[in-house]
Formats: sequence, structure tokens, C-alpha cells
Amino acid sequence: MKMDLVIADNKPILDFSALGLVADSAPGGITWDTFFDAFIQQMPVAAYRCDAAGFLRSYNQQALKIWGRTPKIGADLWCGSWKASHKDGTNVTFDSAPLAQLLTRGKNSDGDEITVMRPDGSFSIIKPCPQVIRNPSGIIIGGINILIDITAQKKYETEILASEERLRMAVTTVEVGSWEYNPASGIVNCDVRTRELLGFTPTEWIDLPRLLETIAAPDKLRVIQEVKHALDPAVKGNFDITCRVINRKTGRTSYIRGKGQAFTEKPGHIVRVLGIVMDITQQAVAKNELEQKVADKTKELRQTISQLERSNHELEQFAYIASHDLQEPLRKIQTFCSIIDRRTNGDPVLENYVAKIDSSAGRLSRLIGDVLDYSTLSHEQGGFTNTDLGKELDTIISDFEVLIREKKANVTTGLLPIIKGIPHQLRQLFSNLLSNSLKFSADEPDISITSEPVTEEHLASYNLNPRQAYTLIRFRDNGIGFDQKYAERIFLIFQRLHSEKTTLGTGIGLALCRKIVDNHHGIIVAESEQGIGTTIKIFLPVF
Amino acid sequence: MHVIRCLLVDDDVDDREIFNLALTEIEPSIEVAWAASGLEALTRLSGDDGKPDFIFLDLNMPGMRGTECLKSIKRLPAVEHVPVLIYSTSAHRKDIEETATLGAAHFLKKPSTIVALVMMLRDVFEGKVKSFYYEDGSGDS
Repeated sequence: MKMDLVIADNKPILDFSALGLVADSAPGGITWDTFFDAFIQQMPVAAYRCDAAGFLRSYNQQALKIWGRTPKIGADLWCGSWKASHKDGTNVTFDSAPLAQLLTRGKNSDGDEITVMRPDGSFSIIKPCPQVIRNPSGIIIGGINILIDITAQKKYETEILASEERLRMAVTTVEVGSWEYNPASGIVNCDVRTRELLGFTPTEWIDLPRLLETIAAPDKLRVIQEVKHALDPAVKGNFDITCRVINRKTGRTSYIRGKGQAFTEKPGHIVRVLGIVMDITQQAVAKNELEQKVADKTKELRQTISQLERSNHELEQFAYIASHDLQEPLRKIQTFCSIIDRRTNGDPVLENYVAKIDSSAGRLSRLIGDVLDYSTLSHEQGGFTNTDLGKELDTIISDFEVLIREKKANVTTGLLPIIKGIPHQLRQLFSNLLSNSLKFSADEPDISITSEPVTEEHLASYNLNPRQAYTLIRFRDNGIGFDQKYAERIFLIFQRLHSEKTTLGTGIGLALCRKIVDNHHGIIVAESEQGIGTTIKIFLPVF
Repeated sequence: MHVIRCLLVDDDVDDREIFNLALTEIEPSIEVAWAASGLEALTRLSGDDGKPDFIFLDLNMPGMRGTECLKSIKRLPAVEHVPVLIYSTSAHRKDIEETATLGAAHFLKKPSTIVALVMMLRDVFEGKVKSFYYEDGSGDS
């Protein structure tokens, strides 16, 4: 009687027929009902017994837990549950209850999963295992149903299904193909997307050599080496390869990125390699285009640099020509003019003309000299060294000694710092400023040159680099000054606020000062009031 | 009375005239020979013309440049100790440094007035030039 087994987890735990239990009485003289009821109570899983008519006769605590109610012995039919449904969603009726089907129609409900609803709203999913009990004559005298709770198992199954579905959706969405390689068989299981990408039909078999055949010739050796390396049991066993593949059907080349991870069962023994493959042709093409653009721009930049170098060279040439070829004839005009001057025999008209020639030639000479200085400064950036501003200033003041005495000027200096600078440029800066102050001054000019630390306010209002240490040099005079609205204009080349009649100068002096301060990454500004005087503020990086 | 002998190496005829004019104002008498190019100067110095007391050398000349000429003069044993005075319109820092290294005695910037030139030459002959570089009025102090 093969059917009449008590099973748990699909394994027979007690074979009634083998034990000869289909007898009039159970061992020890007790009735079979008593025996089965005691047996049911001892069961570690939910179980109950009905008589041949289907009336519930006994059940255990585990069954009560599943039902969530206490059924009435001898009143409830076939089952003790409040409400239940089959796997297909139909309700479990008296007729369709597993024990009823087995006892009345001999139909086993193998594989059915029944959802038992409890009055409190909770539920369990169970697997019914109904068994028939017969008397020695073979007459059915009842049945036992063992309920295996598979709620947790079903929950996991659902979760796994959901996550597999999510993965499938993700793979579809991001256009990633997947594959699995089995080293034992040599077969590579590829999904449809991988097959499409490489040009395999959905059904043909693929082994590793056939797969590697699709890789474009220039990349083949590299990929084979990387795969070999990944399959080496000594290494970590993952790889990430970008290469070109040629589609077997279309012959089209595309860029792919393949990632894989080898899995081992025991150390050193790879059982499978799982991986994904992505079509990155668009990114690769975009990257190549970008690289091409960068290369083009670099080429343009190189050309510009070489043009700049050329024009820089031309500028140097010009500086040389300006200083020699232009100065040469001019110097001769001046020299011969000085010779004529001594032979005028006191003729006032002639003397006047000679003076005019001399004055114009002198001005032209200064212009040429200043333009030369300006162009030289424009491309002279190096030569930074520790420069004692105080010492450089003293040198300049002594250079101007005669003029200072003539003008009866009072020049006072404060303590000036040592900074990283280009000494001869800084001397020129001081020279131009001192010369300006002496030039644009009333009688007995008062000139002071001092330094002070730079405050937070200075940093902010002059947009200075807050990580840089600066010194502020103030160059103050009580000269004729100028309208503050010209404060920026004075630093532009050939901008003169005063006519030649009242002052000497070419309009380059302050432009040179700005150039020098620029070369030192500093800032120079002017504050002035007409008739009161001018203060030039110079912010210079200390190092 | 010792006659000061000069060699002026300059391709410019005007400058030669100006130079001569200035010399007429200087006592005692000065004898000046003229070479229109570096090559001519070297030929004269290697010949039997006698050793000059001073060589005035222009830098910017066609053919052999002044610096090349200076190098060659310093290699002539007969005249290697004769003071060579660079006599140039332009005063590039590079040129000043280079000629100083090559052994020139002074670097004179051609003045723009005859008075200044007379003063400059007087300073040279009287040994009053102190610094290597000399321009208008810088010999005063």
C-alpha cells in the first residue's frame, strides 16, 4: 500500500504497511484511533485526523497555529481551517479539500500549495500530505493530513523571483548582455543580447575559441592574455576588458567592455566564470572624437606658440633696430646740431632754430629709449632674486642727488622690506616714480616713500591673492596732482595729462611702472588731488 | 711731448669726422688712424704701423662684428694689452656683458653732443674713467 505513508519533507518517516499497522488493533491493545491521535500529538509538524465521513477527530498544536482557530471535533469537515485557497486561487471547498479528494476519489493532491487564511487576517502557505487509513479488509476508516508550512520558503522564492526579475529588467534597460563560461565543458552560455552583439544565432553553441574569434585582430592577443590571466587560479580571478569585436553576421566593428568573475569551488579550481558584456561603441567613438579634438587644439596651440615665439623674436629685432638704427641718425643730428650751435656767431634766429632742432631730437631720443625699455620689459620675466628695496631706493635717490638739490626737495624714506624681485626693474620703478614726483612738483617738493603691511581690507578691495604675502609701498608727493578720474589713464602708454610745455616726459614712464609691477604679480594704483599731491600705492608680493 | 696714438675702428664716415673734430679740442696732440672694418683693423695691427695707445672699436659694422674683432685683437700678442674701448651707439646689456668678458677696457656710449664727446675722450686719455660702462656725463662723478 504505497499511498499510505506518513511523510514529512517528502521523506517517508513511517511506513504503515511495512509495520503491518493495518490490523484490528494497534500494538499494546489500544485502538488505532488512540494510537493515531497519540501519534499526531507527537508529530513535530501540523497534523490532524478525520474519520471516513470526513469529520475531524483529532489535531495537534501545530495545526491550531496554522488554522488560527479551534475547530470542533466531530463537526468540522475534512479540515480545520477558517478559509483556504488552492495554488490557482480557487477556494478550498469541502469537496476540494486534499483529504476529501483522496478519501472520496482516490486523488492525491501532490504539488498543491494551499493558502490558509486565519480569522486575524494572517495566513500560512502549506503543503498538504494526506494519507489514507484502512482496516485489514482494505476498507477506508479515515485519513491523516500532515500540513507542511512552506510560508517562509515561498517568501524566499518570491523574493528570489523578484530580484531575478529586477536583474533581468536592469540588464534589458542598460543593454548589458550576460554570459557564463564553464571550464569543464568549455561551453559559454550567452544570452540573446550577447549573441546579437557578436552575431551568433539564438541557438548555436558557443565555446571559448569561437567566442574569442569575434575579437578584432589587433586586440585579440591582449584579450586572450587577459582572460588567461583571469583564469589563472593564482590570481583574484576577475577581469575588465575593453576591446573591439567584429559581428559574425554583419561584419560591423563595435567596441565592447566585458567584465567577468571566476568562481571557485575549492581553492585553485574554477568551476565557472560569470560575466557581462556592454556595447560601448558610442562612448568609444565619442572618446576618440574628443581625443582627436584635443589633438587638433594642441596642434593649434603649438602653432600659436610658435607664432608668438616668432613675433617675440621680431620684437627683439625691433628693439635692437630701434636702439641702434633709429638712435644712430638721431645722435648724428644732435651732434651736428651741437657743432652748429657753437658756430652761430651769436645770431639769435639761428640759435633759436638750433635749440628747436635740439629739443625735438632730444624728445625723439627719449621716446625711442622708452619704447625700447617698454618692449624689453614686456618679454623679460625671469631673474627673480632677493632684492633689498631699501638699498635699491637709496641708489636711485643718490642718482637724483643733483636734481633733488636743485629742486630743494625733501625726500624721506621709511624702512623697506627685502622681497623676491627683479632688481634692475625695481630700480627703474623707483627711478620713474621719483623722477615723476620731482618733475610734477611745485617748489620745494615733499616726497616720502614708506612701506606698511597689507590688511585684510586691502586684499579684498584690490582683489589680491589672499594666500600671498604682500608689502604695500606708498610713494607720496605734494606735487601738482591730477583729477582722480584720470587715475587709471595715467598708467596707459602714451597717455599724458600735462603738455610738453610744462613737463618733460614721453608718457611711457608710468606705463613702464605698471609693466614692472605686473611682472612682479603686484598691483599699482594712484590716488591724487589736484594741487594737493599724489600717492602711488604699490602692492608687491614679498616672496 | 708724447703723442697719443689712437686707432678708430668704425665704418661710419660721419662718426670719424665727429671724432676728429673732438680730438682737435684736446691737448696734447693726438694722432688717429682709421680702419673702416674689423678686418682692416686686424691687418693694420698685425702690420708695421706701430702699436696704438688706445683702440676705439664700434660694434655694429658690416662684415666682421665688433665683438669678433675684439676677440681677434686679444689674440694678437703684440697688441693684447692695448686698451680696447668699445665705442657704440647702442648699449645693450648683453653687449656690455659680452665685451667685458672678452677683455674690453671700457664700454663708451657715443654721446649726442660734441661737448660731451670731448669730455668723454679727455676722461679716457687722462685715465679718469672708473666704471666699465660710460655714457654722457657718467664720468663726472
